[in-house]
Order: sequence, then C-alpha cells, then structure tokens
Amino acid sequence: MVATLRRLLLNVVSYLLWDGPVARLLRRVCPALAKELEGEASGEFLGLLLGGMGLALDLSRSYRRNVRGFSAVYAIRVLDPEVGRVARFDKGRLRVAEALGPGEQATVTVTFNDTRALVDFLVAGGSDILGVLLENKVRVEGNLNYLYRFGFLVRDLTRRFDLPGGTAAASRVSASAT
Amino acid sequence: MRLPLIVDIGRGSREDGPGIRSVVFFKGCLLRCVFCQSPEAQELDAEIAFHASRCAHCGACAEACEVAAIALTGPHRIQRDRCVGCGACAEACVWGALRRIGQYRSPQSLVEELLRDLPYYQSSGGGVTLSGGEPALHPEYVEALLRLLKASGVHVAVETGGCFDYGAFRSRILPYVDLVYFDLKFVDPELNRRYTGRGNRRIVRNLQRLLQERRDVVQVRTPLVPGITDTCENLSGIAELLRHLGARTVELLPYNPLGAGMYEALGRRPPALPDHFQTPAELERVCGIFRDILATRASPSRVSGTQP
Amino acid sequence: MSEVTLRDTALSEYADVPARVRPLRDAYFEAIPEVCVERPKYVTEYHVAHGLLSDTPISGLSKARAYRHVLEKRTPVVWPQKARLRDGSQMEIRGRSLFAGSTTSKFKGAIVYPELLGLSLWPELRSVSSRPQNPYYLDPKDRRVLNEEVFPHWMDYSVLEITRRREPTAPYDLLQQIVFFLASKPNCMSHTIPSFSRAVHEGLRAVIDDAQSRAEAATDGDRRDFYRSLAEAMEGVVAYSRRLAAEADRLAGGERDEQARQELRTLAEIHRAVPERAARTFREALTTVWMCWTAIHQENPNVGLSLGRLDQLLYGHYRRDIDEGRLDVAGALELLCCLWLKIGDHVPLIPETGERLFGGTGSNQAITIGGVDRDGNDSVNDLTYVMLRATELMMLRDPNLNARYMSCVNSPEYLRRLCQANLRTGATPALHNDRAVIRALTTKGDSLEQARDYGIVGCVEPGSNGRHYAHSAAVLINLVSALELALFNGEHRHTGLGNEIGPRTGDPASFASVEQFRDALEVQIRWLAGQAVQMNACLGRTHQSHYPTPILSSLFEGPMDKGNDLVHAGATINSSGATIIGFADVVDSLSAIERLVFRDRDVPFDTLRQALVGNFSLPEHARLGERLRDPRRTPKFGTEDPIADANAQWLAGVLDGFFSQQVGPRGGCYRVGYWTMTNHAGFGLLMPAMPNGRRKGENFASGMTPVSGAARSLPEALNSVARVPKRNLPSGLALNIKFTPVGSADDEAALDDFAAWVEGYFAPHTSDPAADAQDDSCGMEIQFNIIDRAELIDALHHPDKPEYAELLVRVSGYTAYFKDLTPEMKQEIIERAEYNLAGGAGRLDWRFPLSSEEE
Repeated sequence: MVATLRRLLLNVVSYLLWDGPVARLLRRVCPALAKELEGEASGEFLGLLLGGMGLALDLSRSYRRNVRGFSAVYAIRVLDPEVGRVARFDKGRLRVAEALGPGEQATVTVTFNDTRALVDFLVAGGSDILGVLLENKVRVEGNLNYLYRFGFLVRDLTRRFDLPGGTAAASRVSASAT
Repeated sequence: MRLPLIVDIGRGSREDGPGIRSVVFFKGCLLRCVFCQSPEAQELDAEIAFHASRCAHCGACAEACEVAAIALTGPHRIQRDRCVGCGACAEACVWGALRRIGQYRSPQSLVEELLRDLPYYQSSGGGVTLSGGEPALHPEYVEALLRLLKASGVHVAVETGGCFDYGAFRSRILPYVDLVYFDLKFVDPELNRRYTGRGNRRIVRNLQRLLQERRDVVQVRTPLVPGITDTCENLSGIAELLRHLGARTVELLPYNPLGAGMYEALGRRPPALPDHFQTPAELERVCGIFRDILATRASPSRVSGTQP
Repeated sequence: MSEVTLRDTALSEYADVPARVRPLRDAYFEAIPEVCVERPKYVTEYHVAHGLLSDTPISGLSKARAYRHVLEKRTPVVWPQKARLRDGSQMEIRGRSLFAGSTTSKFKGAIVYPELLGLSLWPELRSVSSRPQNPYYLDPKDRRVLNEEVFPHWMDYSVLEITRRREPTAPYDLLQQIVFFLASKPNCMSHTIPSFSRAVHEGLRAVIDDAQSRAEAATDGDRRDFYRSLAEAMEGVVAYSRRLAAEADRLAGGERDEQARQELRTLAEIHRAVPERAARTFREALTTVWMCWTAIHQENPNVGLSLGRLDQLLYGHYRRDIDEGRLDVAGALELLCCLWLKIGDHVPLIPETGERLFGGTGSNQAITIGGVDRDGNDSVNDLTYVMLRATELMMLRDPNLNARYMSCVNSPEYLRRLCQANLRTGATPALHNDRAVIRALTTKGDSLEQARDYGIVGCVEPGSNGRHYAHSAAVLINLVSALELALFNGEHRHTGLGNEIGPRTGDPASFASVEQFRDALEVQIRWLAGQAVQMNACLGRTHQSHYPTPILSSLFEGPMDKGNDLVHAGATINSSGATIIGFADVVDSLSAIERLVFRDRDVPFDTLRQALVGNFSLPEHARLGERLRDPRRTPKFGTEDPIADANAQWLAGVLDGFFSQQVGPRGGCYRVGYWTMTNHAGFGLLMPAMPNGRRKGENFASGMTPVSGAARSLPEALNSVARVPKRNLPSGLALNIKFTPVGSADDEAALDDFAAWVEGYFAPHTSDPAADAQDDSCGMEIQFNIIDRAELIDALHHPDKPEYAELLVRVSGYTAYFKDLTPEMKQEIIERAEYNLAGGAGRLDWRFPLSSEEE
C-alpha cells in the first residue's frame, strides 16, 4: 500500500519535473553515487548505481521512456570485493534485490572480476570496454543485447543527469591510455 | 681446389650491374686501398667483427674463446694478435655484436642459393655479380661457379681491381663472363702505390690485354674519392690512358662513405675521408671537369702527345 | 578481347580530379559519417507490423516485401545538401554528381542492421558522435528512433540470439573469449560479387518478368514464393529509381540555374529508364550498377561486397559511346570519379569495442580490372586504364582496386602501368597473378572458364565473378591460439592456465621428436578449426531461416535457374571461407622449437616454456629471446630456411587438408585464405609471448607476409611465400611489401625495377617442368606501401596536419586512411620491412664515351 502510494507520488512528480531539476535532485539525493563516480569506485558502487538508476526512472519521465515495455532480470556480480545484485526491470520501474527469487531465472548474468572492470565496462566507455572483455574481466551468460541496453541506461543516466562519473571515468581512462 | 672464404651474398641488388642481381663478395684482395668500402673483404683469412653498440656485456664471448683473445674491457673486444678467427665467440653472441666474416661455401651450395633468384634475373635482365675483395684471386673456384651458372643461362659480371694473374683469368674466368667491371683508380704508379699499397703496372697491363682480347665485355670504372682520385690531373690521366688502350667508355662511381664503420669493427683505424655522400652539386662539378677533359683532348694525336 | 586504342595509357593529360568532382571529394574528406536510421526504421516497422519477429522462419518473400517497403519509403536523395563536421556543425555541400541516389539518406552514412550486430551500438548512442576514434554523427532525434523504435524489438531476434536459443551446444564461450576464432555470420554474410550482367544488358524488368513466369509455372509453393520474392525485390529497386526520377524532376522545377536544371532533367530521364530497362549508354550502365549496389546494401551489410570485373562488364557500352561520339575519355573519367565517390558513400558501423580489432576498415568494396577473359585471352581494354586513372586521381579507401595480370598474355606495358599507379598512389592497386589464382580455383573444382573469370572479393579473395557465393570471411582462425594450446597441453594463458580448453595433447617436454609436437599442433588446429566450423554451421542455419536475401539472389548467377535463394545454396558455386591469422609467427615458432628443442637439443622445452611465461623479461631468458628473434640463429619464414619453408608448407597443407573436407552451411567446401585485415595487430595485442621470440602484445605479421626483419632481402621473402603451394590457398593471401619512395612516380628505372620484381615473383619458382608444379609455385598476390618511414612517423605524431587527412596506406588486402587506424596498427605499418627500388639519377649519366666511334 505504501509502495503504491509512493509510486503514485513519484509518478506525479515525474510528470511535473523536467530533467534539469531531476538532475539536481538526483545529485542531492545520491551524493554517495556522485562521489563514487568521481573517485575510485568502491564495493558500494554497484548498489548505488542501481539505486540511482531506479530513482531516476521514478523521477524522470523522459528517462523512463528508455525502458517502456521492457522487462528483464539482470544478475550482476562483482568478484572483488564480492557484491551481487539482481536488477528487475518491469513496467518502467527498476527493483533491486540481493539475490534471485526462488525459481527465478536471470535474463542475463554478468560477472565482473572487480569494481574497476564494472566501471570501465558500464560507465567509462572508450577502448577499455574491449580491454575488459578481452582480458577476461567480464563474463556474460545470456543475451548480449540486454547488456548493450543496460550499458545505454547507465551512460544515459550519467550524461543526462550530468553525474560526474561519465566524464571523470572517461578522462581517467584516456589519461591512462596516453 | 682450395675454397675461398665468402664474405656475404647480397641478393636483390640493383647497383652491381644491369637488372636485379645477386652479388657474391669474395674475401681477400692484394690491394689495400685507403678508401676501400669493404675492408672486411681485404684479408684472405676469417676475421671477427665487433659492433660495440650491440654488445650487452654478457661475457659469453670470453667464455667461448679458447685462445683468450677476448678483452672485456676497452673499446675493442678482440685482441687481434691472438685471435685465430675461429668464430667461437660470434657463435656464442646472441646479440649480434660479434660476427665471423668469411664462410666456406662449395660452388654447388653457392649456386643453389644464387639460382633461387633466377625468376628475377630473367624478369629484369639481371644476373650474378662476383665482387669482393678480388674474385680473380680464386680462378679455379670461380671457374667451377661460373660453369654452373652458365649452365643455367645466368648473366655473370665480375668486379675486379685488376691485380690478378692474367693467364689464369683468361683461361678460367674470361670465357664465362658477360661483363667485367675493371676498376682503374690511378694512372700515376706512385699515387697508386701510396693509396693502394701497390704500383699499377700489372693493373694497366691486365687492362690492356683484356681490352685487346675482349673489349666487348669490359667496362672500366673509376671510383671518385674526393681529393684523391677525383683530381683534374688523375681524371685527365685516366681519360688519356683509356683512349690509348682503346676503351670505349668509362664510368665514374660517386663516392660512398658506407664502409667506414667496418674499420672500427675490425679494430682498424678508419681512413681520414669524408663521412658523407657527395652532394649533387659536387658531383656535377666533377662531371663537368671530366666532360671538359674529354672535350679538350678529343684528338688521338694530342692524347699520345701528353702521355706521361 | 583486348582492345587498347589509347595513345597514352597513363592518361597523363588528365592530371586533376575533374572540376565537377573536386568540391564533392573535398567535402567527403571533411565530413564525418552520419548514422542513418531509415533502413533500420523501415525494416523494423515492416517486421513488427507483419509479426515476423519470432522464432518462426521468415520466408524470402516476406523479406522481399520488407525490403520493397524500405526502398519505397527511404528518402530519394538526388544531391545531398549537407554533411556533418567533426565538431558536430553542418557544412554545405557544393557540387553536382552525375549520379543520384545514395546508400543511406546521408552524404556519408553508416547503415544499421539491427537484425545482426546493430544493437552493439546501443551503449554508445549518446557518445558515438563525440568519441575520439572514428566518430559517427547521430542526430538526437535519430537516437530516439534507435533507442525506442528499433533496438528494443530486436533484442531477442538478432541472428546471434536466435542461434543461441536454438543451438545450445554451439561454442559460444570460445566465441566470447575472442582469442580463439571469430565468426562473421552474426554480423554478415556478404563477401561476394553479384552479377550485374542481366541488369545492365536486359534491365530489371526482364528479370522480374522471368521470375514471374517461373513463379506461375512452379508447381510447389516454396518455389513459387521464391520466384515471387525475386520479382518483389526487383520491383523495389525499380521503384526507388523512379522515385529518384520524380525527385529530380521536382527539383528541376524549382531550380533557377539553367545548367543544374538541365542536369536534373537528364538524371530524371536516366532514372526513368534504368535499371528497369536495358542500359543504352555507358552512363546508364553505370547508373544501373549503382542502383543495384545501393539496393544490395539495404539487405546485406557492407562487408566485403565487391563489384567484380567492371572493366569487362561495361566495356561494350563504353566502346559504343566512344565510337559513336557520345563520350570521350574525359567524360568517362568524370563519370567514374563520380561513381567512385558514390561507392564510398557509406561506411561500416563499428562499435567502439570493435575499433581495436577492425579500426579504420572500410567496407572493402573491391573492383577487379584486367587479366584474361574466359577463353584465356588478354582482356585489358581502354576502360581498364580509365578506371586505373580514376583510382589514381581519387585516392579513396573504397573502392578497393585490384588488378589481375597474366604474364605473356597481358602486355608488359600494362604491368608497368600498374606499378606506376602504385608509385603514384603509394598503396593501390593490389596485384594478382592469374596463373596462380586460376590454379588455386580449379583445384577446388571451379571449371577453367569459371576460374578465368574470377574477381576479387573484399580483401584478396578470388571468386568466380557473379556466380560464386564464397562468404570468404565466414571464420577467422587465430592460429596462434592453436599453437598456445599445443604448448600448454590444451590450456591457454589468456584464459588462465589450469582451465582445459582444447584437447589434452600431452606435455611437449615429454615429446621425443618434433613430429610429436607437430602432431599435437595438428590436433589443436583441427579442434579449433572444428569449433569455428560448428559455430558457422549453427549461424548458417539461422541465416537460412531468418535472413534470406532476395535482392542479392536476383542479382546472381544460379538462383534463377536453381529456384533457391542464395542462403539455400542458390549460387552456381558455393563455398565458405576461413582466413588464418598469425601464420608467419606460428611457422617461426614451430621452426624454433624444431631447431632448438628437438634438433640441436640445446634448449630444453621447459626452459623455453618458462621464458614464454615470463615474457622473456627475466635476465636469464633475455639471451634466449634474442636468439629466437635472430634470423641467423633461428629459422624464419621468409629467409628460405629449409626448416621454416617446410613448416610453412606443412601448416598450409594441414589447414587446407582440414577445411577442404568440411562442408559449409550452403554446401560446398571451405576454402582457406591468408589475409588478416587489422586483426594481426588486434590479436597481437592480446596474445602472450611466443617461441619465435615475439613478446606479449606485439603485432603478428600480416596476411602471409613474413615477420618484419626476418628476410634480409626482398627475393628471400618473395620466394618463401611463392613456394607455398597454390592448391592450398584457394581463398587468396595478402603479401605486404613496403618500398621506399622514389623521386618521381614516372621514373623509368624505378618502373623497370618494380615491374621486374612483380614479374619475377609471379614466375614459377621450381625447376620442375610440369605445368602443374609450375603454377603451384608462383607468387599469387602482392600489395604495396610506398611511403617514407619518416612521413609515417610524422603522421603518427601529428595526425591533425591537413596533408595527412587523406593519407592512404595499405593494411592487409585493403587500404585505409592512416589517421583512422589504431595505435597498434599504425605502429605495425611503420615497422614493416622496407625495400628500395632502383631509380633516381639514372646511372647511364655517369658513363662517358671515350672514343668518337661510340658517338
């Protein structure tokens, strides 16, 4: 009941706000995510990222258009430090859980060796994506197309809401490349 | 037949005669031209070259040497007075800093390698050039080689400094060659002695006989060494002599400083010569002088009149 | 039949890019490619509306209707008006091409195929316009189209995903680990030469009528639908051309410039006539080819689709126009230059992740000129030379010009002219030896006439023109991985020692002889190649069920007679292609092991393996590394070392022996080739140290080129490559040779020399008089970079200098713009061994006559 009410409220809010205020709000609500994106990402990163994404979907109508009619279950794991999350996309929302439900099957399972690989792969872009893939720092079981879409959602999040991560991580990558 | 040492085989060359050629560099020469571009081909015996820039100071050469001729300190790795040229040190050197110069090759194995490039000789009008050193010092070996090459129809050129036994050359080499590059450096015997270590009487006589017998295959060449062979006096002397001997043409070879590093590698003092190629302007100047010489002394009577 | 009437085959009087083309060409080099969403949008629209997105097979007829939908809806662009610059701003395009229409709606476009790997662009939709390496401009509106209207529908229905769902046993893990093999069917089939002959000579209406009457006569439904699919597809092509005509008319109505109006009216007239009707003039014939070409790309990805022997196809029209005074050489050149630019109007869409492996790759649209005709006679004609001149003037990456040469049949002047073109452009055309290629093709079952009529596909792969569906890049085998598995008893350092990947072939330290090691290597090669073949078979079934190709099938010899789509083996000749990466490095590694470990027995295998694991970086391994790299101490391919040559021939024999026994998805056997695009640099980046002394991350040698630095002289390198038997090389090879530039491209001595090298390399390298053995031992292909090392290094450090914007270099089988290449690939090109051409002063100047009788 509370959840339904909250959802309704957020929906109303999302119709009232355009992306500018959402961005400010998001940075205000998720200072930890911004900080993670600015610096070296820690073990908290995956949880914060998915949380921020969920909030953005709730708050921003235009961001929500990215997942219209989309339903999928992502099981994302990082080995070092060990973190695992399940992200369920359904009806324009994202719910995050610690583990798959009983009998539930992930549409795609992605395992990263470490948080750095996760950041490089999902956020930074650039040639490090290939590095991550080729150096066996990521393992994908299932449909790669879902991963491509997820990659877009993450990057759209950081670019649209001007979160520092995209540019900071990218510049770190290009700095290390030269 | 005593096998000569072969310094190297240069394949795909376009500077040693017509077309695409393989060049066999023989070891050993009776002349010691101060401007020699291939000092590694002067001595008849095997030698070790040392290229200091490649040395990793691993000491493997000293371990391998059985006559204790390796000095690990100092600029020259080889103590030449002790070295017997066995090549054990070069064998041990993986860095390519030490190299044994001179390999024995049977005529058959040499020809096998030379014939691999037959398609390019045929497509370019090229062939094989024997060079050195002085290939004419090894008439028996060269004859064996040339017979095999001629059996496959290969065009053969020989480069010579002219200091050889004419009889052997005439009977064993001349019948098989298509082209003889004959280097004439000086007309004045004294200059020849000063700059090549020997007088030039034999050279001039050999050239004279060659031109009498087989003028069609002889191409006389004069290497241009700044201040030494390219003087007006020397060049006019050469022009006169060659006319007198009945040579049709002479080729001037631009100066080439590339052999200099090898002197050092062999533990010898490099000659005090320019370390750069002549500029086009310098070459044009020499050419101009030579053209003038040819133009002003065109009449045979005047040539004989100025014979020294 | 050969007809050369040109007085000057170099066409030197036509010294510049034709005035009409110059502004277009300038714009082409300034503009960045733009992603065009029309094709994916209309294809998706049709598939969604007709419920085609499911696991149920899609018929050729449905596909034909989908493409007709695309062709009837896509924007008819007569003359593109705008293009994008790197900073995202727009530029005006001035200049009026003699050809209307385009592959995309953009001046220089990238096409998206969501059915294949198009979705890999998804993560980059927001950044692709500004990425540092090879950006593509993507309009925000178009981004929304892809993100919301196109990509979501295909998530479960790309070829790879359908295959994954249906074929659970296929080796996806290996495919995903990348270092073992690549399979190209997730991305394309393509890689073939269509036949334009009927379209040009009879017109598409004749093809449609033929298909329809066969449909009516067909007794079974599938066959009837197949013929209807051909008619449907060709109606789409005709419709697009007619819409271009209408658009040209419309523009003419509003055009105030008298000349432009006239040109538009002419275009309208041409597009009303062709490709529907038989082409009457040279220009109409070119327009027909162009219209078919744009249509083929609506269906088939722009990977290795090649135009074939255009100088043969079009010579009749050219000759007639010239003879009847409608055309002169300048006019023909202008037409060809316009068309060459049009052919390059689209580029492959390479996601950022792929740039490392394929960076700088064009779409490899090969055109083939010269050689012999089907009866073995000289086929070089005036048009051959005009095409060569157009290529010289335009200096473009695409089309990729390939020249055939048959010694003693084609004239020596022709060969010299080809060499001159290489000196002038520094990079093109690649040269192919008819004698060797025809031998290679007939060995695999092509008739002599078919083999003589070969054209080049993609990079270097020969295939009978218009009738051979080769898909020559079906699988790319990283041979170095097979070696790795043999060295580490079925394990691979890249995926982690301890994980069993390949078969357990034993610890080489326990082997008593090199034969045992070769056996182990052969087992690993067969296993690895077998995995790739299995993957390709699974993907091939999906192409058959979900990706029939009615447009290409209409423009091909075979489908009309056989009543089958190309994906169902409709072509006259079918085969699948395997290309080998890392050949020379593996030959050298095997030879090093043979010599040092087993013959001289002075390096224990364990020591070698430790050095490999340590990447030769430990002090005790440094000496070994040096020794392994030294061609005087360790046998190397390219030095004519008997051990290395024998291993090269053994390897080529093993690979051909395996692949020629494997049947591909469309029937027909696999054919092996040795060309690597930029993969030898990409894979090199990943692969650990090797027994030939190569350290981790260093490039492999390209194609079948010996490792740089191995050969001391050019003939050694050429001879080693020439001696690999042609019967084992049916899908061609790339031999990259770098010459240092000479003063002038017209230097006679340099040209003599250049032609002699090629002629010599193409001649038999055997003393065996049997014709068979002779054809087997002559050089097959050779391609050149003629560029100064210092210039390349300068271009590496100053990529933004304007003179380097158009710097064209030969990669492996194709040319690329140097600036587009990855750092590794740039380095590889810089490091290639350089050889000198004679030339310059002309030595005769130094010979002086002494006696008057001489003068």
